[in-house]
Amino acid sequence: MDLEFLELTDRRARFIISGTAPAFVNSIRRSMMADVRAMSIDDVNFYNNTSVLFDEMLALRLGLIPLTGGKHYLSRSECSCNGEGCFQCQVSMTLNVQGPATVYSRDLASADAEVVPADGNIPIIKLFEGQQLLLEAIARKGSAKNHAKFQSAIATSYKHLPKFSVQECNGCKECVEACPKGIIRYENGSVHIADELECTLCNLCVEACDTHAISVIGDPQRFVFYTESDGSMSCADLLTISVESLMNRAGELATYLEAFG
Amino acid sequence: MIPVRCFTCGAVISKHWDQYKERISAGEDPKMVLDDLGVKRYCCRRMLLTHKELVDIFAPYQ
Ligand code: SF4
Ligand code: SF4
Ligand SMILES: [Zn+2]
Ligand SMILES: [Zn+2]
Repeated sequence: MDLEFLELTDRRARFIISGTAPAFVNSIRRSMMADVRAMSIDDVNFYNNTSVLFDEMLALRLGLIPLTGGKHYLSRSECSCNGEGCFQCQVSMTLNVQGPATVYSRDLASADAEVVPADGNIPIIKLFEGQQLLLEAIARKGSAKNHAKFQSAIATSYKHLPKFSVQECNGCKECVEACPKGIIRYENGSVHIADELECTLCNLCVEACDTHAISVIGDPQRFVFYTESDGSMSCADLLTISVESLMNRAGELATYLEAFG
Repeated sequence: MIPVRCFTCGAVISKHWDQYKERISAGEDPKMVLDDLGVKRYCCRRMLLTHKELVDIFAPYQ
């Protein structure tokens, strides 16, 4: 198995993974989405809300704000406080804004300097003259198995890289016209793909060719993988945590299998 | 208020709203602004493109 990174920043990653099978690549994808845990606002106590939105709607908006850090926090169910809530499993944030003003995610004052909104400029609600929003939000650890707000990996996807081949081309250039991505080039009497990463395997070039010269199939062993992070952790962390979780579960399975002899 | 995240992919698109609104009202082409902000997928683009701000209309009826 081979990995080649095309792009790796905190918020975005794209890499080619080759010499493996779709099932494995898809396990990474699913593990990234469902196994990686993050902090998110889970409970909100409203002390004053005279804004035009109901408490419930504001709480939902607050929950969707990605929060950074908090690696060492435990989830409520695994904490020694038995779900009562303590410094190991929850972070308190307060918000107090008086209108006229727009409340932004940066207005949340967190008790833990590490666990803060990943983006400060998320508008929460616009307050008018005389309106006030005063609340305490409790952030907890969770995974997307329980709620999508805990999901850090966004638009996580992979596709097969194309195997493009041409025989007996007559140079009509129909395929060049047909490709919606504009990646087919006709040069020196033959056609080739200029950028195989862009190919969507749509097969329009195959259909456009009257002489049936082109064949495009997805390479069963080579994939291009894409993911984005919502800012709660870096893409490198997303990837390593998900692979660790996969390895742990594969290890567990191995011990079960051994028990059966 | 602009939804915090894209309904389809979950990207946090609301962080672009202020800038988007400002540039659109200055007469810029939405396509160029979205390209500039790095909002690539059409699921995210429609979130900003089709959003209608209603808070100001609701304001008197709190
Ligand atoms: S459509 Fe077929 S014959 Fe025409 S240029 Fe493309 S590959 Fe060659
Ligand atoms: S399969 Fe579609 S995207 Fe790929 S080269 Fe052919 S026409 Fe272009
Ligand atoms: Zn606890
Ligand atoms: Zn989207």
